[in-house]
Amino acid sequence: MTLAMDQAVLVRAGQQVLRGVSMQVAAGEIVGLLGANGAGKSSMLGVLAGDVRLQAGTATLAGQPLASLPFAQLARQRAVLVQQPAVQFDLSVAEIVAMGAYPFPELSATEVADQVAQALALTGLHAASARPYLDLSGGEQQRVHYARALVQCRAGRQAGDARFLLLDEPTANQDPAQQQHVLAVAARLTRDEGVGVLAVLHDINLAARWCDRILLLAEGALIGAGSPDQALTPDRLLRAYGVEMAVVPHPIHAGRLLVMMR
Amino acid sequence: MALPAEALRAGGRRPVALMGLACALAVVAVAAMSSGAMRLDLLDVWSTLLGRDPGLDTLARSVLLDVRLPRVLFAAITGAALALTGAVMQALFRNPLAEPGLIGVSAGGALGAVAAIVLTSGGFWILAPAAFSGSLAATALAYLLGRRVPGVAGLLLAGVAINTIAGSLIGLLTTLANDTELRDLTFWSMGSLSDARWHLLVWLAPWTLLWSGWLLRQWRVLNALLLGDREAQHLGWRLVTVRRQLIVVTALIVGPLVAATGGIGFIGLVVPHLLRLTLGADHRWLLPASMLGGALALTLADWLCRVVIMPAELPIGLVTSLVGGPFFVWLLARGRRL
Repeated sequence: MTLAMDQAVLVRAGQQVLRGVSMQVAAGEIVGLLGANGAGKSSMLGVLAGDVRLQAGTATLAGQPLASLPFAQLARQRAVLVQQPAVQFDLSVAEIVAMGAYPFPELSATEVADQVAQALALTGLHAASARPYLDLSGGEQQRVHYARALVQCRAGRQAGDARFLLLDEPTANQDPAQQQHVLAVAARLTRDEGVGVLAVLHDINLAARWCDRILLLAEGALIGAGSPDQALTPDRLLRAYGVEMAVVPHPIHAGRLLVMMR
Repeated sequence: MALPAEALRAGGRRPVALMGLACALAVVAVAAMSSGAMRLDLLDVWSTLLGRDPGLDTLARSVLLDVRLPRVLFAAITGAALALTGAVMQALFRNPLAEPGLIGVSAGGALGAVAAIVLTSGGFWILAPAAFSGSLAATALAYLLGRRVPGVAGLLLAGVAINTIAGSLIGLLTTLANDTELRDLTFWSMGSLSDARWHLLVWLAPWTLLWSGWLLRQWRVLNALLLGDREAQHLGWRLVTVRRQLIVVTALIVGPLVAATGGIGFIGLVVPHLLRLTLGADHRWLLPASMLGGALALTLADWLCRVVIMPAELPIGLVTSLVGGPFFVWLLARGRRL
Protein backbone atom coordinates (compact mmCIF):
# COMPACT_ATOMS: atom_id res chain seq x y z
CA MET A 1 0.00 0.00 0.00
CA THR A 2 1.80 3.13 -1.19
CA LEU A 3 1.22 6.74 -2.08
CA ALA A 4 3.58 7.36 -4.97
CA MET A 5 4.60 9.50 -7.90
CA ASP A 6 6.51 8.37 -10.93
CA GLN A 7 8.42 10.68 -13.30
CA ALA A 8 6.20 13.52 -12.06
CA VAL A 9 6.44 16.80 -13.94
CA LEU A 10 4.54 19.83 -12.66
CA VAL A 11 4.62 23.19 -14.41
CA ARG A 12 3.39 26.36 -12.78
CA ALA A 13 3.50 29.78 -14.43
CA GLY A 14 5.91 28.47 -17.06
CA GLN A 15 8.30 27.12 -14.41
CA GLN A 16 8.97 23.43 -13.84
CA VAL A 17 8.22 22.99 -10.15
CA LEU A 18 8.72 19.23 -10.20
CA ARG A 19 11.19 17.79 -12.73
CA GLY A 20 10.56 14.09 -13.17
CA VAL A 21 10.30 13.16 -9.50
CA SER A 22 9.77 9.53 -8.52
CA MET A 23 9.09 8.76 -4.88
CA GLN A 24 6.78 6.81 -2.62
CA VAL A 25 5.46 6.70 0.91
CA ALA A 26 4.58 3.25 2.21
CA ALA A 27 2.06 2.41 4.90
CA GLY A 28 3.69 2.33 8.32
CA GLU A 29 6.57 4.70 7.64
CA ILE A 30 7.17 8.35 8.35
CA VAL A 31 8.96 10.20 5.58
CA GLY A 32 10.44 13.68 5.94
CA LEU A 33 10.37 16.01 2.94
CA LEU A 34 13.16 18.58 3.11
CA GLY A 35 14.48 21.31 0.87
CA ALA A 36 14.99 25.04 0.62
CA ASN A 37 12.09 27.48 0.23
CA GLY A 38 10.67 27.13 -3.28
CA ALA A 39 12.24 23.70 -3.85
CA GLY A 40 8.80 22.23 -4.61
CA LYS A 41 7.93 20.62 -1.26
CA SER A 42 4.42 22.05 -0.95
CA SER A 43 3.76 21.39 -4.64
CA MET A 44 4.71 17.75 -4.15
CA LEU A 45 2.38 17.57 -1.17
CA GLY A 46 -0.38 19.21 -3.23
CA VAL A 47 0.04 16.60 -5.97
CA LEU A 48 -0.07 13.72 -3.46
CA ALA A 49 -3.14 15.27 -1.77
CA GLY A 50 -4.93 15.27 -5.13
CA ASP A 51 -5.18 19.08 -5.29
CA VAL A 52 -2.93 19.56 -8.29
CA ARG A 53 -2.76 17.67 -11.59
CA LEU A 54 0.57 16.68 -13.12
CA GLN A 55 1.57 17.70 -16.63
CA ALA A 56 3.45 14.44 -17.10
CA GLY A 57 4.10 11.31 -15.08
CA THR A 58 1.73 9.68 -12.61
CA ALA A 59 0.63 10.08 -9.01
CA THR A 60 -1.06 7.05 -7.51
CA LEU A 61 -2.70 5.88 -4.31
CA ALA A 62 -2.52 2.10 -3.85
CA GLY A 63 -1.85 1.81 -7.58
CA GLN A 64 -4.83 3.93 -8.65
CA PRO A 65 -4.23 7.28 -10.35
CA LEU A 66 -5.12 10.07 -7.91
CA ALA A 67 -6.88 11.97 -10.71
CA SER A 68 -9.38 9.12 -11.10
CA LEU A 69 -10.42 9.08 -7.43
CA PRO A 70 -13.41 11.22 -6.40
CA PHE A 71 -12.70 13.64 -3.56
CA ALA A 72 -15.17 11.92 -1.26
CA GLN A 73 -13.25 8.67 -1.61
CA LEU A 74 -9.87 10.40 -1.37
CA ALA A 75 -10.98 12.00 1.90
CA ARG A 76 -11.45 8.52 3.37
CA GLN A 77 -7.98 7.48 2.29
CA ARG A 78 -5.82 10.37 3.36
CA ALA A 79 -5.80 13.42 5.62
CA VAL A 80 -3.96 16.64 4.86
CA LEU A 81 -2.65 19.42 7.07
CA VAL A 82 -1.84 22.54 5.07
CA GLN A 83 -0.14 25.62 6.35
CA GLN A 84 -2.39 27.57 8.73
CA PRO A 85 -5.82 28.02 7.23
CA ALA A 86 -7.42 31.40 7.98
CA VAL A 87 -10.71 30.92 9.81
CA GLN A 88 -12.76 34.06 10.36
CA PHE A 89 -15.83 32.56 11.92
CA ASP A 90 -16.60 31.76 15.51
CA LEU A 91 -16.13 28.01 15.77
CA SER A 92 -15.05 26.16 18.88
CA VAL A 93 -11.93 24.00 18.96
CA ALA A 94 -13.97 20.81 19.25
CA GLU A 95 -16.21 21.83 16.34
CA ILE A 96 -13.23 22.26 14.02
CA VAL A 97 -11.60 19.03 15.16
CA ALA A 98 -14.88 17.13 14.65
CA MET A 99 -14.85 18.14 10.97
CA GLY A 100 -12.18 15.47 10.53
CA ALA A 101 -14.99 12.93 10.79
CA TYR A 102 -17.09 14.48 7.96
CA PRO A 103 -15.85 11.95 5.37
CA PHE A 104 -17.23 9.16 7.59
CA PRO A 105 -20.97 9.81 7.97
CA GLU A 106 -21.44 6.22 9.15
CA LEU A 107 -19.79 7.04 12.49
CA SER A 108 -22.17 7.69 15.37
CA ALA A 109 -22.07 10.94 17.36
CA THR A 110 -20.50 9.06 20.28
CA GLU A 111 -17.78 7.58 18.10
CA VAL A 112 -17.01 11.01 16.68
CA ALA A 113 -16.92 12.57 20.16
CA ASP A 114 -14.57 9.80 21.23
CA GLN A 115 -12.21 10.37 18.29
CA VAL A 116 -12.28 14.12 18.94
CA ALA A 117 -11.46 13.63 22.62
CA GLN A 118 -8.52 11.37 21.78
CA ALA A 119 -7.14 13.74 19.14
CA LEU A 120 -7.44 16.68 21.53
CA ALA A 121 -5.63 14.71 24.21
CA LEU A 122 -2.87 13.74 21.74
CA THR A 123 -2.31 17.35 20.75
CA GLY A 124 -2.49 18.74 24.27
CA LEU A 125 -5.67 20.69 23.54
CA HIS A 126 -8.05 18.81 25.79
CA ALA A 127 -8.55 21.75 28.13
CA ALA A 128 -9.19 24.07 25.17
CA SER A 129 -11.97 21.90 23.73
CA ALA A 130 -14.85 24.33 24.22
CA ARG A 131 -12.82 27.50 23.65
CA PRO A 132 -13.34 29.67 20.56
CA TYR A 133 -10.70 28.86 17.95
CA LEU A 134 -10.07 32.56 17.37
CA ASP A 135 -8.97 33.03 20.99
CA LEU A 136 -6.04 30.63 20.63
CA SER A 137 -2.42 31.47 19.80
CA GLY A 138 -1.05 30.74 16.33
CA GLY A 139 0.71 27.60 17.51
CA GLU A 140 -2.40 26.30 19.23
CA GLN A 141 -4.51 27.03 16.14
CA GLN A 142 -2.08 25.01 14.04
CA ARG A 143 -2.45 22.12 16.48
CA VAL A 144 -6.25 22.32 16.21
CA HIS A 145 -5.91 21.54 12.51
CA TYR A 146 -3.40 18.82 13.28
CA ALA A 147 -5.95 17.29 15.66
CA ARG A 148 -8.56 17.52 12.88
CA ALA A 149 -6.24 15.66 10.49
CA LEU A 150 -5.62 13.05 13.21
CA VAL A 151 -9.37 12.50 13.59
CA GLN A 152 -9.73 12.08 9.81
CA CYS A 153 -6.85 9.62 9.77
CA ARG A 154 -7.84 7.54 12.77
CA ALA A 155 -11.54 7.53 11.84
CA GLY A 156 -10.33 6.18 8.51
CA ARG A 157 -8.45 3.40 10.25
CA GLN A 158 -11.56 2.59 12.25
CA ALA A 159 -13.60 2.46 9.04
CA GLY A 160 -11.07 0.06 7.55
CA ASP A 161 -9.76 2.39 4.85
CA ALA A 162 -6.11 2.69 3.99
CA ARG A 163 -4.63 5.85 5.43
CA PHE A 164 -1.99 8.39 4.65
CA LEU A 165 -1.28 11.59 6.49
CA LEU A 166 0.25 14.52 4.60
CA LEU A 167 1.65 17.29 6.77
CA ASP A 168 2.87 20.62 5.44
CA GLU A 169 5.15 22.10 8.10
CA PRO A 170 3.32 20.59 11.08
CA THR A 171 5.93 22.02 13.45
CA ALA A 172 5.56 25.62 12.28
CA ASN A 173 4.77 28.00 15.16
CA GLN A 174 5.44 25.26 17.72
CA ASP A 175 7.85 25.58 20.63
CA PRO A 176 10.71 23.03 20.74
CA ALA A 177 8.87 20.67 23.07
CA GLN A 178 5.72 20.77 20.94
CA GLN A 179 7.75 20.19 17.76
CA GLN A 180 9.03 16.94 19.23
CA HIS A 181 5.57 16.03 20.44
CA VAL A 182 3.87 16.65 17.08
CA LEU A 183 6.31 14.28 15.36
CA ALA A 184 6.18 11.75 18.18
CA VAL A 185 2.39 11.55 17.69
CA ALA A 186 2.85 11.07 13.93
CA ALA A 187 5.50 8.42 14.53
CA ARG A 188 3.24 6.55 16.92
CA LEU A 189 0.48 6.65 14.28
CA THR A 190 2.76 4.92 11.79
CA ARG A 191 3.79 2.27 14.29
CA ASP A 192 0.47 1.53 16.00
CA GLU A 193 -1.97 2.01 13.15
CA GLY A 194 0.14 1.45 10.03
CA VAL A 195 -0.45 4.94 8.66
CA GLY A 196 2.00 6.33 6.12
CA VAL A 197 3.12 9.87 6.95
CA LEU A 198 4.78 12.44 4.70
CA ALA A 199 5.86 15.60 6.54
CA VAL A 200 7.38 18.76 5.10
CA LEU A 201 9.97 19.86 7.65
CA HIS A 202 12.54 22.61 7.97
CA ASP A 203 14.42 21.43 11.03
CA ILE A 204 16.97 18.94 9.70
CA ASN A 205 17.80 17.48 13.10
CA LEU A 206 14.14 17.04 13.94
CA ALA A 207 13.68 15.19 10.65
CA ALA A 208 16.73 13.01 11.28
CA ARG A 209 15.46 12.19 14.74
CA TRP A 210 11.90 11.16 13.82
CA CYS A 211 11.79 10.10 10.18
CA ASP A 212 12.34 6.59 8.83
CA ARG A 213 13.29 8.05 5.49
CA ILE A 214 14.18 11.46 4.11
CA LEU A 215 13.45 12.97 0.70
CA LEU A 216 15.68 15.92 -0.13
CA LEU A 217 14.40 18.25 -2.85
CA ALA A 218 16.37 20.90 -4.71
CA GLU A 219 14.85 22.96 -7.51
CA GLY A 220 12.13 20.45 -8.20
CA ALA A 221 14.38 17.37 -8.33
CA LEU A 222 15.13 14.72 -5.74
CA ILE A 223 18.79 14.88 -4.80
CA GLY A 224 18.65 12.48 -1.88
CA ALA A 225 16.38 9.70 -0.71
CA GLY A 226 16.94 7.11 1.96
CA SER A 227 17.57 6.79 5.65
CA PRO A 228 18.56 10.03 7.40
CA ASP A 229 22.18 8.83 7.41
CA GLN A 230 22.16 8.18 3.69
CA ALA A 231 20.20 11.22 2.57
CA LEU A 232 21.55 13.93 4.82
CA THR A 233 25.18 14.20 3.80
CA PRO A 234 27.12 17.49 3.89
CA ASP A 235 27.47 17.66 0.09
CA ARG A 236 23.75 17.05 -0.49
CA LEU A 237 22.80 19.60 2.15
CA LEU A 238 25.12 22.10 0.47
CA ARG A 239 23.32 21.49 -2.82
CA ALA A 240 19.89 21.73 -1.21
CA TYR A 241 20.37 24.74 1.02
CA GLY A 242 23.55 26.40 -0.23
CA VAL A 243 25.16 26.34 3.20
CA GLU A 244 27.96 24.20 4.55
CA MET A 245 26.99 21.79 7.27
CA ALA A 246 28.95 19.36 9.37
CA VAL A 247 27.78 16.01 10.68
CA VAL A 248 28.96 15.37 14.23
CA PRO A 249 28.13 12.62 16.73
CA HIS A 250 25.22 13.58 18.95
CA PRO A 251 26.51 14.46 22.43
CA ILE A 252 23.59 12.78 24.22
CA HIS A 253 22.27 9.84 22.20
CA ALA A 254 23.50 7.51 19.51
CA GLY A 255 22.39 9.62 16.53
CA ARG A 256 24.10 12.37 14.64
CA LEU A 257 23.81 16.11 14.80
CA LEU A 258 23.89 18.43 11.82
CA VAL A 259 25.35 21.82 12.54
CA MET A 260 25.78 24.80 10.31
CA MET A 261 29.40 25.77 9.76
CA ARG A 262 28.72 29.48 9.91
CA MET B 1 -13.30 12.57 28.25
CA ALA B 2 -16.78 14.01 28.62
CA LEU B 3 -15.78 17.56 27.82
CA PRO B 4 -15.54 17.49 24.00
CA ALA B 5 -18.84 15.65 23.62
CA GLU B 6 -20.38 18.33 25.78
CA ALA B 7 -18.68 21.08 23.82
CA LEU B 8 -19.94 19.57 20.55
CA ARG B 9 -23.50 19.72 21.78
CA ALA B 10 -22.96 23.06 23.53
CA GLY B 11 -24.61 21.77 26.67
CA GLY B 12 -28.09 21.77 25.18
CA ARG B 13 -28.11 25.54 24.80
CA ARG B 14 -28.69 25.38 21.08
CA PRO B 15 -31.79 23.16 21.05
CA VAL B 16 -33.26 25.42 23.74
CA ALA B 17 -32.52 28.48 21.58
CA LEU B 18 -34.28 26.87 18.60
CA MET B 19 -37.31 26.07 20.74
CA GLY B 20 -37.34 29.62 22.09
CA LEU B 21 -37.25 31.09 18.59
CA ALA B 22 -40.07 28.80 17.45
CA CYS B 23 -42.24 29.79 20.42
CA ALA B 24 -41.54 33.50 19.89
CA LEU B 25 -42.44 33.11 16.22
CA ALA B 26 -45.77 31.47 17.09
CA VAL B 27 -46.63 34.22 19.58
CA VAL B 28 -45.70 37.06 17.22
CA ALA B 29 -47.54 35.42 14.33
CA VAL B 30 -50.77 35.12 16.31
CA ALA B 31 -50.43 38.67 17.64
CA ALA B 32 -49.82 39.97 14.11
CA MET B 33 -52.91 38.16 12.85
CA SER B 34 -55.09 39.65 15.55
CA SER B 35 -54.16 43.29 14.98
CA GLY B 36 -54.93 45.58 12.09
CA ALA B 37 -57.80 47.74 10.96
CA MET B 38 -60.18 45.12 12.30
CA ARG B 39 -59.05 43.99 15.72
CA LEU B 40 -59.54 40.30 16.48
CA ASP B 41 -59.34 38.58 19.82
CA LEU B 42 -56.06 36.68 20.33
CA LEU B 43 -57.81 33.58 21.62
CA ASP B 44 -60.28 33.63 18.74
CA VAL B 45 -57.39 33.76 16.30
CA TRP B 46 -55.64 30.91 18.04
CA SER B 47 -58.62 28.60 18.14
CA THR B 48 -59.61 29.39 14.53
CA LEU B 49 -56.09 28.47 13.46
CA LEU B 50 -56.41 25.22 15.38
CA GLY B 51 -59.52 24.41 13.37
CA ARG B 52 -62.13 25.16 16.05
CA ASP B 53 -64.98 27.60 15.54
CA PRO B 54 -64.95 30.36 18.16
CA GLY B 55 -67.94 32.02 16.52
CA LEU B 56 -66.25 34.71 14.44
CA ASP B 57 -68.56 36.34 11.91
CA THR B 58 -67.99 35.74 8.20
CA LEU B 59 -66.17 39.01 7.66
CA ALA B 60 -63.80 38.51 10.58
CA ARG B 61 -63.18 34.95 9.52
CA SER B 62 -62.43 36.04 5.99
CA VAL B 63 -60.09 38.82 7.17
CA LEU B 64 -58.22 36.30 9.27
CA LEU B 65 -58.05 33.37 6.85
CA ASP B 66 -57.89 35.11 3.46
CA VAL B 67 -55.89 38.22 4.30
CA ARG B 68 -53.89 38.01 7.50
CA LEU B 69 -52.97 34.34 7.63
CA PRO B 70 -51.44 34.29 4.11
CA ARG B 71 -49.74 37.60 4.83
CA VAL B 72 -48.11 36.36 8.04
CA LEU B 73 -47.15 33.07 6.41
CA PHE B 74 -45.70 34.98 3.50
CA ALA B 75 -43.68 37.22 5.83
CA ALA B 76 -42.44 34.24 7.82
CA ILE B 77 -41.41 32.24 4.77
CA THR B 78 -39.76 35.22 3.10
CA GLY B 79 -37.85 36.11 6.26
CA ALA B 80 -36.79 32.51 6.82
CA ALA B 81 -35.55 32.15 3.26
CA LEU B 82 -33.69 35.47 3.22
CA ALA B 83 -31.91 34.76 6.51
CA LEU B 84 -31.09 31.22 5.43
CA THR B 85 -29.66 32.27 2.08
CA GLY B 86 -27.72 35.02 3.86
CA ALA B 87 -26.14 32.49 6.21
CA VAL B 88 -25.35 30.17 3.30
CA MET B 89 -23.77 32.95 1.23
CA GLN B 90 -21.64 34.06 4.16
CA ALA B 91 -20.17 30.57 4.34
CA LEU B 92 -19.91 30.12 0.59
CA PHE B 93 -18.06 33.41 0.13
CA ARG B 94 -16.28 32.86 3.45
CA ASN B 95 -17.28 36.42 4.14
CA PRO B 96 -19.49 37.53 7.01
CA LEU B 97 -20.80 40.49 5.00
CA ALA B 98 -22.19 38.49 2.10
CA GLU B 99 -25.91 39.07 1.88
CA PRO B 100 -28.32 38.89 -1.08
CA GLY B 101 -28.96 42.65 -0.92
CA LEU B 102 -25.41 43.84 -0.39
CA ILE B 103 -23.73 41.75 -3.04
CA GLY B 104 -26.32 42.53 -5.69
CA VAL B 105 -28.26 39.27 -5.89
CA SER B 106 -31.51 41.03 -5.05
CA ALA B 107 -30.71 43.85 -7.48
CA GLY B 108 -30.06 41.26 -10.18
CA GLY B 109 -33.41 39.70 -9.41
CA ALA B 110 -35.02 43.13 -9.47
CA LEU B 111 -33.51 43.88 -12.86
CA GLY B 112 -34.88 40.63 -14.21
CA ALA B 113 -38.31 41.40 -12.79
CA VAL B 114 -38.36 45.00 -14.07
CA ALA B 115 -37.29 43.83 -17.51
CA ALA B 116 -40.15 41.35 -17.44
CA ILE B 117 -42.66 44.04 -16.45
CA VAL B 118 -41.54 46.54 -19.11
CA LEU B 119 -40.53 44.31 -22.00
CA THR B 120 -43.20 41.60 -21.76
CA SER B 121 -46.86 41.31 -20.97
CA GLY B 122 -45.88 40.80 -17.32
CA GLY B 123 -47.57 38.49 -14.89
CA PHE B 124 -45.95 36.58 -12.09
CA TRP B 125 -45.14 33.53 -14.20
CA ILE B 126 -42.84 35.59 -16.38
CA LEU B 127 -41.63 37.73 -13.49
CA ALA B 128 -40.39 34.80 -11.36
CA PRO B 129 -38.11 33.08 -13.88
CA ALA B 130 -36.84 36.47 -15.06
CA ALA B 131 -35.99 37.41 -11.47
CA PHE B 132 -34.35 34.02 -10.96
CA SER B 133 -32.15 34.52 -14.03
CA GLY B 134 -31.17 37.97 -12.82
CA SER B 135 -30.30 36.67 -9.35
CA LEU B 136 -28.29 33.81 -10.76
CA ALA B 137 -26.29 36.05 -13.08
CA ALA B 138 -25.62 38.52 -10.25
CA THR B 139 -24.48 35.80 -7.81
CA ALA B 140 -22.14 34.28 -10.37
CA LEU B 141 -20.76 37.71 -11.21
CA ALA B 142 -20.28 38.60 -7.53
CA TYR B 143 -18.51 35.31 -6.97
CA LEU B 144 -16.15 35.73 -9.92
CA LEU B 145 -15.41 39.42 -9.28
CA GLY B 146 -15.16 38.99 -5.52
CA ARG B 147 -12.36 36.48 -5.90
CA ARG B 148 -10.16 39.01 -7.71
CA VAL B 149 -9.71 41.09 -4.58
CA PRO B 150 -9.21 38.98 -1.46
CA GLY B 151 -11.06 39.54 1.78
CA VAL B 152 -14.20 41.46 2.59
CA ALA B 153 -13.39 44.34 0.24
CA GLY B 154 -13.51 42.37 -3.02
CA LEU B 155 -16.99 41.07 -2.50
CA LEU B 156 -18.37 44.40 -1.33
CA LEU B 157 -16.83 46.17 -4.32
CA ALA B 158 -18.34 43.58 -6.62
CA GLY B 159 -21.66 44.23 -4.88
CA VAL B 160 -21.31 47.98 -5.43
CA ALA B 161 -20.61 47.39 -9.11
CA ILE B 162 -23.50 44.97 -9.57
CA ASN B 163 -25.92 47.18 -7.65
CA THR B 164 -24.86 50.18 -9.73
CA ILE B 165 -25.18 48.40 -13.05
CA ALA B 166 -28.51 46.81 -12.14
CA GLY B 167 -29.75 50.14 -10.75
CA SER B 168 -28.88 52.06 -13.90
CA LEU B 169 -30.43 49.42 -16.15
CA ILE B 170 -33.57 49.49 -14.02
CA GLY B 171 -33.59 53.30 -14.43
CA LEU B 172 -33.22 52.94 -18.18
CA LEU B 173 -36.07 50.45 -18.36
CA THR B 174 -38.21 52.77 -16.25
CA THR B 175 -37.88 55.54 -18.82
CA LEU B 176 -39.13 53.10 -21.46
CA ALA B 177 -42.16 52.13 -19.42
CA ASN B 178 -45.69 53.36 -20.16
CA ASP B 179 -48.06 54.55 -17.45
CA THR B 180 -49.54 51.19 -16.53
CA GLU B 181 -46.14 49.54 -16.40
CA LEU B 182 -44.82 52.42 -14.34
CA ARG B 183 -47.55 51.93 -11.77
CA ASP B 184 -46.77 48.21 -11.61
CA LEU B 185 -43.08 49.03 -11.22
CA THR B 186 -43.52 51.55 -8.44
CA PHE B 187 -45.85 49.27 -6.55
CA TRP B 188 -43.46 46.35 -6.94
CA SER B 189 -40.19 48.12 -6.18
CA MET B 190 -41.39 49.50 -2.84
CA GLY B 191 -40.86 46.05 -1.43
CA SER B 192 -44.07 44.82 0.05
CA LEU B 193 -45.72 41.74 1.37
CA SER B 194 -49.18 43.08 0.61
CA ASP B 195 -49.38 40.90 -2.48
CA ALA B 196 -49.75 37.89 -0.20
CA ARG B 197 -52.61 35.75 -1.44
CA TRP B 198 -53.19 32.04 -1.33
CA HIS B 199 -52.80 31.58 -5.08
CA LEU B 200 -49.24 32.87 -4.75
CA LEU B 201 -48.46 31.04 -1.52
CA VAL B 202 -49.62 27.61 -2.66
CA TRP B 203 -46.63 27.24 -4.88
CA LEU B 204 -44.15 29.81 -3.48
CA ALA B 205 -44.23 28.29 0.01
CA PRO B 206 -43.52 24.66 -0.98
CA TRP B 207 -40.97 25.82 -3.55
CA THR B 208 -39.08 27.91 -1.00
CA LEU B 209 -39.32 25.31 1.75
CA LEU B 210 -38.19 22.53 -0.58
CA TRP B 211 -34.98 24.30 -1.54
CA SER B 212 -34.47 25.56 2.00
CA GLY B 213 -34.65 21.97 3.17
CA TRP B 214 -31.94 21.07 0.70
CA LEU B 215 -29.78 23.91 2.02
CA LEU B 216 -30.31 22.82 5.64
CA ARG B 217 -28.79 19.46 4.78
CA GLN B 218 -25.60 21.12 3.49
CA TRP B 219 -24.40 22.09 6.99
CA ARG B 220 -21.31 19.89 6.85
CA VAL B 221 -19.91 21.31 3.64
CA LEU B 222 -20.74 24.85 4.76
CA ASN B 223 -18.75 24.27 7.95
CA ALA B 224 -15.88 22.81 5.93
CA LEU B 225 -15.93 25.86 3.64
CA LEU B 226 -15.28 28.08 6.68
CA LEU B 227 -11.85 26.45 6.93
CA GLY B 228 -10.98 27.21 3.32
CA ASP B 229 -11.41 25.87 -0.20
CA ARG B 230 -8.53 23.41 -0.03
CA GLU B 231 -9.59 22.16 3.37
CA ALA B 232 -13.14 21.54 2.17
CA GLN B 233 -11.70 19.59 -0.74
CA HIS B 234 -9.48 17.57 1.59
CA LEU B 235 -12.59 16.70 3.60
CA GLY B 236 -14.15 15.22 0.47
CA TRP B 237 -16.10 17.85 -1.46
CA ARG B 238 -15.61 18.75 -5.10
CA LEU B 239 -15.61 22.50 -4.83
CA VAL B 240 -16.68 23.36 -8.36
CA THR B 241 -19.80 21.25 -7.94
CA VAL B 242 -20.59 22.42 -4.42
CA ARG B 243 -20.29 26.09 -5.34
CA ARG B 244 -22.39 25.76 -8.45
CA GLN B 245 -25.13 23.93 -6.55
CA LEU B 246 -25.18 26.45 -3.70
CA ILE B 247 -25.26 29.44 -6.05
CA VAL B 248 -28.05 28.01 -8.18
CA VAL B 249 -30.20 26.95 -5.23
CA THR B 250 -29.74 30.35 -3.57
CA ALA B 251 -30.88 32.06 -6.75
CA LEU B 252 -33.80 29.62 -7.06
CA ILE B 253 -34.97 30.76 -3.65
CA VAL B 254 -34.18 34.49 -3.81
CA GLY B 255 -35.30 35.14 -7.42
CA PRO B 256 -39.01 34.30 -7.06
CA LEU B 257 -39.11 35.92 -3.61
CA VAL B 258 -37.74 39.16 -5.05
CA ALA B 259 -40.27 38.90 -7.86
CA ALA B 260 -43.07 38.54 -5.31
CA THR B 261 -41.95 41.02 -2.67
CA GLY B 262 -39.62 43.53 -4.29
CA GLY B 263 -36.46 44.30 -2.38
CA ILE B 264 -36.31 43.46 1.32
CA GLY B 265 -32.79 44.07 2.50
CA PHE B 266 -30.58 43.25 5.44
CA ILE B 267 -32.55 40.35 6.93
CA GLY B 268 -29.93 37.99 5.51
CA LEU B 269 -27.16 40.01 7.11
CA VAL B 270 -28.58 40.90 10.52
CA VAL B 271 -30.26 37.65 11.52
CA PRO B 272 -27.41 35.16 10.92
CA HIS B 273 -25.01 37.60 12.58
CA LEU B 274 -26.96 37.98 15.78
CA LEU B 275 -27.45 34.22 15.92
CA ARG B 276 -23.76 33.55 15.32
CA LEU B 277 -22.95 35.79 18.26
CA THR B 278 -25.07 33.68 20.58
CA LEU B 279 -24.96 30.19 19.05
CA GLY B 280 -21.60 30.12 17.25
CA ALA B 281 -20.94 29.48 13.58
CA ASP B 282 -21.71 25.74 13.40
CA HIS B 283 -24.18 25.53 10.51
CA ARG B 284 -25.90 22.52 11.91
CA TRP B 285 -27.56 24.93 14.34
CA LEU B 286 -27.04 28.24 12.58
CA LEU B 287 -29.10 27.31 9.50
CA PRO B 288 -32.31 26.24 11.26
CA ALA B 289 -31.90 29.05 13.78
CA SER B 290 -31.53 31.55 10.92
CA MET B 291 -34.75 30.32 9.34
CA LEU B 292 -36.66 30.72 12.59
CA GLY B 293 -34.97 34.04 13.40
CA GLY B 294 -35.56 35.41 9.90
CA ALA B 295 -39.21 34.38 10.03
CA LEU B 296 -39.56 36.02 13.43
CA ALA B 297 -37.81 39.24 12.34
CA LEU B 298 -39.81 39.74 9.16
CA THR B 299 -43.14 38.82 10.74
CA LEU B 300 -42.43 41.37 13.45
CA ALA B 301 -41.32 44.01 10.94
CA ASP B 302 -44.37 43.46 8.75
CA TRP B 303 -46.65 43.68 11.75
CA LEU B 304 -45.10 47.03 12.66
CA CYS B 305 -45.47 48.25 9.06
CA ARG B 306 -49.15 47.44 9.10
CA VAL B 307 -50.05 49.03 12.42
CA VAL B 308 -47.70 52.00 12.98
CA ILE B 309 -49.42 54.46 10.63
CA MET B 310 -52.76 52.70 10.30
CA PRO B 311 -54.73 52.69 8.04
CA ALA B 312 -51.75 53.34 5.74
CA GLU B 313 -48.80 50.95 5.55
CA LEU B 314 -45.06 51.51 5.72
CA PRO B 315 -43.07 49.77 2.97
CA ILE B 316 -41.36 46.84 4.69
CA GLY B 317 -38.12 47.28 2.78
CA LEU B 318 -37.87 50.67 4.44
CA VAL B 319 -38.16 49.21 7.94
CA THR B 320 -35.65 46.42 7.43
CA SER B 321 -33.16 48.89 5.95
CA LEU B 322 -33.79 51.33 8.78
CA VAL B 323 -32.70 48.67 11.26
CA GLY B 324 -30.18 46.93 9.01
CA GLY B 325 -28.26 49.98 7.80
CA PRO B 326 -26.99 51.07 11.22
CA PHE B 327 -26.32 47.42 12.08
CA PHE B 328 -24.11 47.15 9.02
CA VAL B 329 -22.20 50.27 10.09
CA TRP B 330 -21.76 48.76 13.54
CA LEU B 331 -20.42 45.54 12.00
CA LEU B 332 -17.86 47.44 9.96
CA ALA B 333 -16.84 49.57 12.95
CA ARG B 334 -16.49 46.49 15.12
CA GLY B 335 -13.54 45.25 13.08
CA ARG B 336 -12.21 41.82 12.29
CA ARG B 337 -13.98 39.51 14.67
CA LEU B 338 -17.20 38.88 12.80
